[in-house]
Amino acid sequence: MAKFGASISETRFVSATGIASVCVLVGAILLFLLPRDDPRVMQLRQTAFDIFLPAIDALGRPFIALRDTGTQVSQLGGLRAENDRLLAENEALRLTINQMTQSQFLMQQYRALLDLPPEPGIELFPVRVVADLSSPFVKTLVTKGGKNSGIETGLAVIGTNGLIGRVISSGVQSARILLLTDFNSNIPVVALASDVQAILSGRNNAMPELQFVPRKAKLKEGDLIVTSGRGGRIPIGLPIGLLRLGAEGEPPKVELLDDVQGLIHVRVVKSVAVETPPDIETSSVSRKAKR
Amino acid sequence: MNPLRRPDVRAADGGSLWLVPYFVLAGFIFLDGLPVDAQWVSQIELGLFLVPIFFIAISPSEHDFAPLGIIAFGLLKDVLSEAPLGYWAFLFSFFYLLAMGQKGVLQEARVSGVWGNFLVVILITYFAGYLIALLREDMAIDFWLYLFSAFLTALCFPLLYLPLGWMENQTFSDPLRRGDD
Repeated sequence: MAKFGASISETRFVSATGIASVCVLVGAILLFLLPRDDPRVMQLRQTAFDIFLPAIDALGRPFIALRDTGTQVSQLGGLRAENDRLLAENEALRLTINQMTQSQFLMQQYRALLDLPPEPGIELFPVRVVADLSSPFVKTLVTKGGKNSGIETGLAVIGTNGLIGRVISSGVQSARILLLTDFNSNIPVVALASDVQAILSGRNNAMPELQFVPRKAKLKEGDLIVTSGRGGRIPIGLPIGLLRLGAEGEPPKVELLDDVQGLIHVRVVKSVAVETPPDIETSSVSRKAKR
Repeated sequence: MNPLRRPDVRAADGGSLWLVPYFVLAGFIFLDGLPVDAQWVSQIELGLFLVPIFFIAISPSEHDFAPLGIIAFGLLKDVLSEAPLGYWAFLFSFFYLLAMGQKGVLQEARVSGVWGNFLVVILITYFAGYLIALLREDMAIDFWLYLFSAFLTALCFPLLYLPLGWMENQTFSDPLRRGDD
């Protein structure tokens, strides 16, 4: 009887090990056969977020409330200093508004002289972040609000001060934002003062790098980096960060204007996408067909 | 004393409390995306979800579908954490398999022994995760940060393992549930 019991136990263990081994194999096959940007995988992720959003939101709320309370309590001590800083900032901003009004008037004059078409207007709408998936190998946010809030794939997302990323997929009630710091993020940018175009690439750390900088370009430390608008989806001139030149041989880095950690609210930039010009081959074929 | 030192108990005796580690695992997967302020926290991949998996793997109660549940949770983690599909599914199953191999040894071990064993198993698993990242173009992992994450997870191990062990011990020590009468 004892022998029989032992053999049952042994069989169970072997079968469990066998199942676990098959699971390891299945995991490995999935990992190396499915590309990360496979549309089906992207769709699966978006659907999963749509389904689990209420659970993630409900589980996260007490922690966020606790964190906010802690932040508020810690800020109480510095209220006077904060008030002084805001007053000074307000004064500086009033000056800037005067300068900007003048610049805006001049810009209108120049545009009229050059007969330039009007730039498409942008619309900002706030959304709440429910999950921050920042880990050593991915930097994304999940927002509460997707297609039901008018969020479309490809739209730019800004924080309090500047661009933080773009929407990579949008579901019914949630959307995923790829942060500028993510390894897979590449945004066309321009250094404002030196007028140098480059690509801002995330490196999974706090400071993304400038890639494809022209060899003879003369970059300036602290130069403001803004979006170049190339590609058509992200509007031109959205501020991103300040240029930080490292040691010789190292690619220049960008210190983002916004801290992308712990963001609770972000704003999606709704803009009119510039239509892609027709493919040369396709258009020539259609022209031949018309003839 | 190791709270799991009860080789005579069987799965069916534990009522539905055997599901608790699975709920803990699901909770950690959902909480993984909590927005945090500090940059250094986001750099660390704290694997607290591996503690319930370790617990399930070395628990005397045996459920044949446990590996299937583990891989399902791994896939859920892959989907919700934006990791390549199969990354956590593979690591969860691999970790489970490694831990299950230690089951016989750990039945009679002290808590310190189980803790040390967890450290070794988690280090191997994280190293496997790092090697996978090396093979993929879309992943960049800092080796030392990843190693530090494994150590930090091991440091938190007793905080989760002891309550889970205590809970299971209470369940099995109930004479009605054990079926001693």
